[in-house]
Amino acid sequence: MALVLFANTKGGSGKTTAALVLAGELVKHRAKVVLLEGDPNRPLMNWAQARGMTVLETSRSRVTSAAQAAELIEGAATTDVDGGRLTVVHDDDQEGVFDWIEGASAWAHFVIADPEGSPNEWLTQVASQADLVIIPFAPSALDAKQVSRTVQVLQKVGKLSRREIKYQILLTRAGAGAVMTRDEREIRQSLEKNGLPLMKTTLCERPAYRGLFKLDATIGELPETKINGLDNARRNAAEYISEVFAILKESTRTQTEAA
Amino acid sequence: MASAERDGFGFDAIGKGSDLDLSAFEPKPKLIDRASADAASEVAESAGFTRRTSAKAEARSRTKATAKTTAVADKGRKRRVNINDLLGIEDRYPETERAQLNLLAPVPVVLRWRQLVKDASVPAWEVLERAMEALEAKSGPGAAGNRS
Repeated sequence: MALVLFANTKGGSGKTTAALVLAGELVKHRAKVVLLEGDPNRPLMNWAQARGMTVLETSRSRVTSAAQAAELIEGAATTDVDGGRLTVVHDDDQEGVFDWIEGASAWAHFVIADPEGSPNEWLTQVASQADLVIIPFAPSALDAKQVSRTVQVLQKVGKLSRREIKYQILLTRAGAGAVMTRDEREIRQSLEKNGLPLMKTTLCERPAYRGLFKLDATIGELPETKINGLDNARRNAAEYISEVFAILKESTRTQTEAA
Repeated sequence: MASAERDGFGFDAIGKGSDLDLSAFEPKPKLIDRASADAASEVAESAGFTRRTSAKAEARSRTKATAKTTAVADKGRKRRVNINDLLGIEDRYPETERAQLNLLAPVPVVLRWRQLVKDASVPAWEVLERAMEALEAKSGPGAAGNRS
């Protein structure tokens, strides 16, 4: 089981889109996935409800143990045509977040957490347990500064708890064209210079990613007739999931060796 | 997916309609690292990060703790009926949504408030929350929340 957190203290960085692309692709490959939402704007909850899925709201579904959470999660799971399963949990009651993480991990292959794009404690709490934190950001100076802030918070939590919090930086909403903007080039150079781990894959600004929320679908479900450049988006999503999967696999291997 | 096609990570066939090798990610109850969780809370607090539900949780426990006292205090005097209480609705506004707060106050108070918000350089509601917390810390739980 792997817990992946998408973290950025700034909103509009592409966290929810990146989380949904990952979840959708994993489910397509028959994984059991829990999307754990900590964003009070409820984008994932709205997405799931528009699809007719049952969403667990933690303030309504109070649990006293991880086993109880696991049971509820399994009961609410939707099965994909390919056999993967997905449950969306909207955590609007932070008090029990660890029970939900424990419960979700007992049932799912992957738990994907999407916090609010703000400096909030839910983010740090989930980060403290995460196997991988992905920090998405759009290529602008404003976003880049928030990446630094998020990294500093993760490093502080890691230092205090004497546990390394593994993180990767994901460039999102970049132009899909061949020419890189000056901002993007400078940001990439700065990240490299400072030894910060930037993922090879970039989630570019594409109609398909906007279509996820417009049509309440996953990448695999988007209709080719309604979305331009869907093939490119699917290739992009496949590269992205491959890279995340490789990072997680490597991390698992390192942890096993260390143990 | 044929095993001959697999590379070391087992994800080489992504996008070709094959499965990922999920064997390394079998569901397993995650043991919560309490030391890390405590460290996370400490970092969040020192960085001034917001906490979403503490106020509600506190209000909930406050309501339980003071229910008996309030009932005794209310005995013998007419009190306003709260429709939410009658219907068993815990809170009109879910904790996760924003609600607008309008209030009239004397001009000097409003001017002090504006200055406070300006000096604090945080949203006005955070200043209000801090003030409430300070009041509660000084006068004990429930001081800012009693409806008697």
